Amino acid sequence: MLTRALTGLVVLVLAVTASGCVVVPQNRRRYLADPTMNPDILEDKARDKLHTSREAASGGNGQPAGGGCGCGN
Amino acid sequence: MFAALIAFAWASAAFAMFAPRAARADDGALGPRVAASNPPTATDAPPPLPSQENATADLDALREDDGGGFRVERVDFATAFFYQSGHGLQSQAGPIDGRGSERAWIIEPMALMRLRQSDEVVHDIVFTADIVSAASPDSLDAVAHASEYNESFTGEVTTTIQTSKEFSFGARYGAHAEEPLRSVTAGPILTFHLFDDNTVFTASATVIADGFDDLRIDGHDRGFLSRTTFSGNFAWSQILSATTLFSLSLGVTEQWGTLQQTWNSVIQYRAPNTDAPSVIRTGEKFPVTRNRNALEAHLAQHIPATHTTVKGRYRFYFDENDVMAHTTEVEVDQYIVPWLFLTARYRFHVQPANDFWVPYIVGPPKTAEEPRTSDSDLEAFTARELGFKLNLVREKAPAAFRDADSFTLGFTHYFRSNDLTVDMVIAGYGRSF
Repeated sequence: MLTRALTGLVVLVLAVTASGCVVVPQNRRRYLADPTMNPDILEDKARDKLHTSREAASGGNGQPAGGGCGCGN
Repeated sequence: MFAALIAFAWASAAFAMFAPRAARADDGALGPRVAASNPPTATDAPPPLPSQENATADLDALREDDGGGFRVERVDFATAFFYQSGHGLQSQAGPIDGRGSERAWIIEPMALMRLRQSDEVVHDIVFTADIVSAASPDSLDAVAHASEYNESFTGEVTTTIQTSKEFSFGARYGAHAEEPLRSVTAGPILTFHLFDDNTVFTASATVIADGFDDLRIDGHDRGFLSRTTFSGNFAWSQILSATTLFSLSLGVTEQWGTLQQTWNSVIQYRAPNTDAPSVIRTGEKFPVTRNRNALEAHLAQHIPATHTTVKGRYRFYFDENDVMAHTTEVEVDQYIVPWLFLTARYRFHVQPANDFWVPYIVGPPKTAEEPRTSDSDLEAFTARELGFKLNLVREKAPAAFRDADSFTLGFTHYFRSNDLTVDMVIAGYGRSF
């Protein structure tokens, strides 16, 4: 429990610290909007299904872990 | 039926590909289309600046013309085909005291639609179907030909309401149905957009309620079981430079209920000095609760000079069954011409066996609740994955070929150290409106 709390604290401190370092204005985000920088959502879903149903580890990527499929992993 | 389903999905894609050109001419969207229908000429005098009141009234009038606001912004269709082969101790499709077959194929048509209800409200709708040969319980088919094919359907909607430039909230909700399982999902999402969207924090929670048939290893259905999953996720996304993106997410999941795969089996040898058969199969058993946690980091770097994007990902997972897994992934996207790029990906995953994984047991379990599994997915193994994909982006093509759509065609080869191989082919089409 303590480890989890510390992890959360470190993440929070990093987030607050780093977020103030640089602000990229919207008119300089051309490369960030490039198709190569964005995920292919449907392909990621297909691959996620493979990994969550055939490996012991799932969750942590903003999606729920476990449940929703007939597998016990 | 399967062919009809896939044909329907791709017919929809074909419709999206060709029909919108006619529809777009008279739909109610603002902006470029208004300008296109009334192109300015050199002799046109600039219109007088409207007063603020008149401008607001004009905007309201245009919104009313928009037909109530529901507008499709983007659709994507994809179909993935998986072919899986290998052997696992949990499967009965083989010798009674050895690894059984895990051979299966899966066809998975998917559709994604972004539907804008108003300036503030947007819905992302995902529909997925799975058609699985031999079903996941291939082992079960060896004793009861009850599930030669298994179909499943999932619908999931994420609704986002942008209340201000800095804050949005929403909900994710959906349902899943397949032959032995029904499931519903719901949960809230809160998002904070800070520093002109350079920093985005997202907190979300999800509850999943599953109900499923108690299919045992002998093929009999013993009733109805359930499990509940609560998942909390926190994500941080950060623009580090004009070419660099970073994100970090932390997920915690708690599960209660029947967590085992009720049809997975464990080899059971005869206990010494007994008259039982020398070897039989018994069912696997999991504890009734499980805590699982994961931390994941992504970094994406675009290199304008070479038209290349490099992405790295690391994921650390641990749960209370002593599984501590590491996953790393590297992806390179390289433009060949301005409208065509190639993706190459390598993924490596390593995990230990969970703390109650056994290759077999001797004699009956001491208690019915004693945890045990021989599932090859929970065994110690390393997994590698190689993938390639061609992406055609017509928005960047020469004028004669340009359009607002894109095509993808990909191949992925996944192979594990404990005798499992999965090949995946995926074809996709997307269009923005």
